[in-house]
Amino acid sequence: MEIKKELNGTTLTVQIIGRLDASNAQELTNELNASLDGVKDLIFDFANLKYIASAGLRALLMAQKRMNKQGSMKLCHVDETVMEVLEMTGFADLMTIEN
Amino acid sequence: MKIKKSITEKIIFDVVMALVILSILLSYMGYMEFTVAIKDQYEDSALRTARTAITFADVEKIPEYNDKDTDGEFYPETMELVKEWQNLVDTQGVTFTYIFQPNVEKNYNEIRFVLSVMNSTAKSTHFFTGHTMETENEEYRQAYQDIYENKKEYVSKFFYDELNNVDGFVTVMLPMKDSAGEVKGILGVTRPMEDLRYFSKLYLHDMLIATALISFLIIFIYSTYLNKTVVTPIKTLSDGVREIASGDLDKKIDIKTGDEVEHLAICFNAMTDELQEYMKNLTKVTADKERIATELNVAKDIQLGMLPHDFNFGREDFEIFATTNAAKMVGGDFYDFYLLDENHLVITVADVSGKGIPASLFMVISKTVLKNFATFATTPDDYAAVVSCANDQLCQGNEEMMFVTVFFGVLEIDSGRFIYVNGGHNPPVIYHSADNHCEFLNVKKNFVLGGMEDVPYQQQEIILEKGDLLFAYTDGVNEAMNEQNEEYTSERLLEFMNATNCRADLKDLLAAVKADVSKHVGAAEQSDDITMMALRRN
Repeated sequence: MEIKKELNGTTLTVQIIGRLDASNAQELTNELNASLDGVKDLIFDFANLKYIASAGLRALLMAQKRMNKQGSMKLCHVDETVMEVLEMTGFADLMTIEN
Repeated sequence: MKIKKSITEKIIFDVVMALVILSILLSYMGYMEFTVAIKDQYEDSALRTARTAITFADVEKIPEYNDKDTDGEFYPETMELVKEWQNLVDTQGVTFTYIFQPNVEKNYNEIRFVLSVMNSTAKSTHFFTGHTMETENEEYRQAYQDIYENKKEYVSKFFYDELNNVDGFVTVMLPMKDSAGEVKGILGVTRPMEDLRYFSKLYLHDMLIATALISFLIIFIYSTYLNKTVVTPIKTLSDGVREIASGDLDKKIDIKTGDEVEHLAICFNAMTDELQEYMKNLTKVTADKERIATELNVAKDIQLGMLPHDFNFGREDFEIFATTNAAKMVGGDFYDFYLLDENHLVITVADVSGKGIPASLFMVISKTVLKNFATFATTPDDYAAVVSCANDQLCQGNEEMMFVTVFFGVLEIDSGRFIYVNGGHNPPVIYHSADNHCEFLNVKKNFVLGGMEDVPYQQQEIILEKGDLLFAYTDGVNEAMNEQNEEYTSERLLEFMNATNCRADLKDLLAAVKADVSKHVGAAEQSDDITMMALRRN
């Protein structure tokens, strides 16, 4: 997995490339914790995310909870298989998804 | 390893080669200079003799010296000169003193002797007055020309044949000039260089012996020195290293040479220290790891012990079977089943986010909370509330944002009414006995449990006819990955269920599914917990 971050004013775009699973979800959480201060809009670009495991969902959930307090969060360019997981687990209804 | 050639031998060989080359070079240079110096001395001596000889002769009288008539007018005067010269030649040890005239018209290619006096002890051919001969070579011809035309004060020629064991000689030639300064003839003195060969050989001989002796001395001293300063320390070092390698890490190599070898020894000592430190750490870490592994094993046993293992309720109207395989020592998957009363069977299949200890702890809480709330349910409409309450409970103090996907269902055994709530879990497979067909159970996409408080949960219901089967599982099944990172997929699961005999014994059915998943996974490592449960109404 590779994480690319781009801060534009108060908008942080996070691109996740590869697979987000138990082995690297903590890395994403750490990255987000380090860079979410002052961010109002968090955008996850999932164009290159091929797979998400429950540990990855947990990282998203943590981000969502934090952004509920300080702004908004949305997911975009969500791949079909990832979308399936998000729908199955009810995350799709809870999060803003733009494609 | 056997040492083929020691360092000393190598260095000594190089030094010997260098010394040999150096001594040959020095000897040769010395020999050359020595020869030149001796030659110079002979030349000087011959020149002095020639300068003395010329004082006795008179250039104006050359025609008279030519007169061979012993009764002639000039004979006594000529004999006077011969006498003086003979004396000079004998006392100075020269071979010849002579006057000759090169033939200028023949371009100095011929000479004619005027007068010649030979040492009385010499055994050589005497050249008499009037004797003509061809000029020996171009060198001599050039010498004559230099005296006649280029007005050279004197010319000397060496004849020296080192190879043929003959003594060399030097010839010094002076011009005989008349009052007008014109060269009328040449006075020559030939002197043997009788000692040159002897002394040169002696010099060479002494020089070679001396250099050889000095070389041997240097080699002896140097090899002793090398042994002491290089070879012995290196041997000490290699012996020490061998000792260390054989396991004696307390061994310290003691070398005090002050050079790279001592530095290397210090490095080795530092290495053994670090190695010892590292091994100590490793032992500790290994012990820690073993302790953790033991504790994890215990944890796994406890966790497995929490799952119901008694599948035999002693009833004919339903049967149930479940298995779980943790990917790591302790997993986050669990299943549960229990009778609320004689007619209500609760089943649960769940998957906690993440793996390992945190997941298993959350699993224990989830299982307990779900069961607690389920036992309070009084009417079939309460089941969504059971899940909802469990969710709120799990959300409390859940700083780590752990969550769990849950498939929760209750079977009313006599009627076959099956009420279920799906909290973000994979839809189970349902087998309809009537048309011998499998399909996915229609599930509402409710949110996972523990993620967010006050989320609504909806319950659904179907009728399980006699012979129908419900197969619930975790994503360890459909997401099981092979070495090419390809998932098993829920489609393949459904395909397999449709192909296999769903009326088989439940234990065999689960084993068959597991076998098909294993076939797909191949040699790849199990990536997630695999939990399966099957419920059949009879």
